[in-house]
Amino acid sequence: MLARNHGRAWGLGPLCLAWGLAVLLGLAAAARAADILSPEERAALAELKQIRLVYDWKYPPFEFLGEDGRFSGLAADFIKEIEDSLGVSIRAEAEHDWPALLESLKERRADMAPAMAYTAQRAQYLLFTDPYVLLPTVVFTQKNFKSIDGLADLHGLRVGVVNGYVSHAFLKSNYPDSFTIVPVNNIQEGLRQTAFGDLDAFVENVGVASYYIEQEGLRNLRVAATTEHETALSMAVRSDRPLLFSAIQKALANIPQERRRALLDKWVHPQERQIRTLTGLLYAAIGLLSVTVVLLGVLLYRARALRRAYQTKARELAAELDRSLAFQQALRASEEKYRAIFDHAPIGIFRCTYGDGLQEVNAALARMHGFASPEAMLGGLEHLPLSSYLRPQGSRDIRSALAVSSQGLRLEALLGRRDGQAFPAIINASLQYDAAGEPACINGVVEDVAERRQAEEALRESEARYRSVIENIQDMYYRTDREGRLVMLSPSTPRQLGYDSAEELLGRSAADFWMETDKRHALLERIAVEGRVLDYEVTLKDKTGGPVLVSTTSAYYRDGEGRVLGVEGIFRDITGRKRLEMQLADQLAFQQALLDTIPYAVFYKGTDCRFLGFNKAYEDWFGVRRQDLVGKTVLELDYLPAEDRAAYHAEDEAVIAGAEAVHKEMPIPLADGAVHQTLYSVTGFHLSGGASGGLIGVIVDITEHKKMQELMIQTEKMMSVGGLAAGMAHELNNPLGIILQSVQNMERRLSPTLPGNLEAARRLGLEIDSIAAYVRARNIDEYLRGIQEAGDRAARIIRTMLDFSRSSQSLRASCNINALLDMAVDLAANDYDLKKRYDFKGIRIERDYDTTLPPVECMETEIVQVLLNIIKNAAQAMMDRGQRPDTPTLRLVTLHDSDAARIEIRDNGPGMDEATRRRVFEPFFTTKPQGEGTGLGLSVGFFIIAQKHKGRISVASRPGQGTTFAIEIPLG
Amino acid sequence: MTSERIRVLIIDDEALLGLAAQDYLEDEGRFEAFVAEDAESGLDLLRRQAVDVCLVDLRLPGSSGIEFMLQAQALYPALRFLIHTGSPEEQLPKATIQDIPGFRGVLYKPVADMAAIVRALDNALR
Repeated sequence: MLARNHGRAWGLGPLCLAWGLAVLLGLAAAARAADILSPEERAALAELKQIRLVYDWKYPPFEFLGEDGRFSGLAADFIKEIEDSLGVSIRAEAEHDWPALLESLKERRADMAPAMAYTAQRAQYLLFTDPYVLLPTVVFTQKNFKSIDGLADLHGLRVGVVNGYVSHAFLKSNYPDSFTIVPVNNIQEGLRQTAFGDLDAFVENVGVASYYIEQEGLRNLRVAATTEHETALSMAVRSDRPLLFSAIQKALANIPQERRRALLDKWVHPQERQIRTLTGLLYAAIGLLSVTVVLLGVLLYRARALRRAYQTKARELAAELDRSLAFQQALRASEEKYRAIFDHAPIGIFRCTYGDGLQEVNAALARMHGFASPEAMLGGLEHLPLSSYLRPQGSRDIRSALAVSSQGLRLEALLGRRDGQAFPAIINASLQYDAAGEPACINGVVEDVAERRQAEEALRESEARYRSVIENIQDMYYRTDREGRLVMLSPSTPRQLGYDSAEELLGRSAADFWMETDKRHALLERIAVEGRVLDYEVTLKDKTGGPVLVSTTSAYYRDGEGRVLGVEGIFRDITGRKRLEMQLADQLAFQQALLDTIPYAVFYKGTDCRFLGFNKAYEDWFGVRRQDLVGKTVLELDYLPAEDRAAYHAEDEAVIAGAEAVHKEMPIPLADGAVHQTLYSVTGFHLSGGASGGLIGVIVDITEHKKMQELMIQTEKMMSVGGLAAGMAHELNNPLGIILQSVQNMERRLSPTLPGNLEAARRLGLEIDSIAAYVRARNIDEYLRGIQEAGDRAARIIRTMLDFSRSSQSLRASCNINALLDMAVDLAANDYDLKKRYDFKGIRIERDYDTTLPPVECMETEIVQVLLNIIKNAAQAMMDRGQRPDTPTLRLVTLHDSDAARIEIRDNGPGMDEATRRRVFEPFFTTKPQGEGTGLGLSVGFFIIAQKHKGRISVASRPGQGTTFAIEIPLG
Repeated sequence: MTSERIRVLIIDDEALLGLAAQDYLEDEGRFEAFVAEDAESGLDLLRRQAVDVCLVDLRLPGSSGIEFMLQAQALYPALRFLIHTGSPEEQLPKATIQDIPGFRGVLYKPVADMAAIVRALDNALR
């Protein structure tokens, strides 16, 4: 039954000690207001235009500033009575604290105060009426504070009292050394500090304090003891207004007794009903009342004189009983209020009896343990898997812990859920004592900290991860404070800078490690502007002062409010990267040099068909510059015909898309104005990752090669002719010998001059002269000469043909080319055949010799043969001049042409068409009338120059433009 | 003109060539010319008849002109030789020829003017 009562009234403390409240109900016989004042007093009141009153704005229920802004409370009502009685008006002004109130009285700014206790000090400037209310001064402590009998039990503790109140003076004079007196500014402060444990006790008169305890909801306070002190409140009037004082004194005394009680009822008792801690007081009062009544009855017989007084007391106590019913009602309302809090609090709340175990839990605690409701939990404790703090045996530890920690207990525990799972929780528990000061209950709150633990764990893991990153990072992590001093470093930092430990670096200025301090300033400025700087290259100093090339990424770091605390970031050693970059640059330089050395045009394009680059040969051939062309496609190359560009572009795209590489011979016009025969190749290439990278093109100029190829074919032809001649020579030379020698004998033996002929003719009876005449007459001599010439020609052809097969054994000698040319001209001028057809003297010879031409190693007679052949051909060609007015001119030029001596023989004859030009070196090709040329002259010349001297011979000619032969003989 | 004529042996398998040279030389009056159509006949002739100089074709049926010269030189160290050949210069076995002490030169066929032969014979005996 008792337990149940406690359960229902869980928020209530044990009974507080009884305390007394006495009201001075009457002080003097009633006097009629009309005649209470003397004429002097009346005159004095009349003289005063206004009576000014000051009151403490916060001393309820006696005097305070009401919610309506008016002077309120018991004292206010008494003043009202006085005003009525005296027929005066008193103006009340609130003062915000007690010392200020005293001050305004002392300085005579105010005339009176309505509720003040007498002290000798105040009596120096104030006059005090008889007290009209008496308030016992009591000691307030926390409910669970130890049991005390009075102020003497507070030895060594901290005891609060309102600064300047009478109770303050009382403590100072009566208990100067017993405990620490802590002055507070007002009653609320004192009560609050006591409730929160800052003060061990607070001393104040019961009326005002009780009022505030209710207002502030300081339900853990109780009245722990009474004191021998009580506050007797009087009205105080400034001492220089004795007539006002005497008037007030008279008017106060004149207030009838009933009126006084009514006022007291109005102000003092209703407050008490609000204070739950006063419950005990009421029970005690009722108990006391019963005893008193019995006592009164006994005493009634023995001391009738006291009867009236006791009857009065009895009536008062009966009235108290009535009030207690109303009080209980208020109590229930209050309890419901706190019950709601209990039920809906988000943290678990429990209450155990000290000995038996769990009495009450709230919904939150039930949920925490996996029960649907507090009832389910109370009925199912046996389902909890762990020895629970909630069971009698489980709470034993808590009990013993609480026994030695009077301030309450905080402990962390692993609690069990109904389903067997455990959860971490924090339990705050405290003991509640009964009226006898014995522990009665354990009250506590339980907080499920699983989530908090998880968050803490996550934070720890995050921190560990972060730490691990810092510990293991290869880059140098650093952090500086606002002054630029190093405050945090990864272990890699000292390692990479050649220090033994981070301690050598921490605390030093980061600038100490920078080679270029201006770069550090620049970095900090950029951070200030951009907040974060990426990949900034700087040089740090290692321990020996040597350079460490790094790239840093740095930024501000800030506190929670965004204030900059310093700079942090990483340094990455890029010495290796730099080395690679340089190697790459070297490789690229080599690659370009390699490309530029290649005598063929090389170009390369990206997958977008745009030029990535090309080599020097390409630039030279096409007359373009790299910087003008890189980034363009072939479509933009205006030096190519439009249709060619489209074709090239289509081809580029196909090759990049993976088509077969292109290899083809094609004519391309180059910057020198000539169309060159080229071998044009385009191949796609792939990047290291396998993706298409674009294409590479190579253009090989095969014009010369083509010419050489033609010459080779030519030479081959001649060699075969030579081989053929060698094979045939013997077979042809014998019959030619027969023909020529026979013809010679025939001519001789027909001649009259040969001595043997006369003898032979005479023997036969013939006249030699007749025979000769006959031969002439019959043209026999012409036939014979014809046979001889034909034989000669045939013999010459065979000899020339044999030249092709002959690897010359002729000696080489240093020759002056200019001299050889002159020699050839002289020979031509005296040539028998030529003379027959043309007067060489009619040809103008222009010489343009390079006199610095070095001597050339060559076979003199053969070179002269070649030159002579060309000159003769030119002279013959210039015969056919038609009506041309200009002088036939042979222009002879020698040049020192890099590594060759160059000879040019130019005529202004009729020239030749391309078909002829292409065949001039061909054996047996001739444009001369039958019988005039062998068709071998230029062939032999070609053979001598190209084959025997490893030189070159070529001819340029156009119809009507003359012909130029060019010969190059290598020097050295 | 000397009292004693220069005796010339012509060896050529082309009979007409031998005849033409023989006639020309005898027309000159200073020469006595003999003709053989192969090396063997030439050697026989040399045994019967003293000769000053031989005009030798190289390509012959049976022994070659070279073999003839080697044998003839062996028999008659004073004998002089001229080669008269239709082969080109480079086909001559020069090394061997140089070993023949009486070798005095080469005449290449066709010799259009046999005066060249006369000059060569005169030079050979100088």
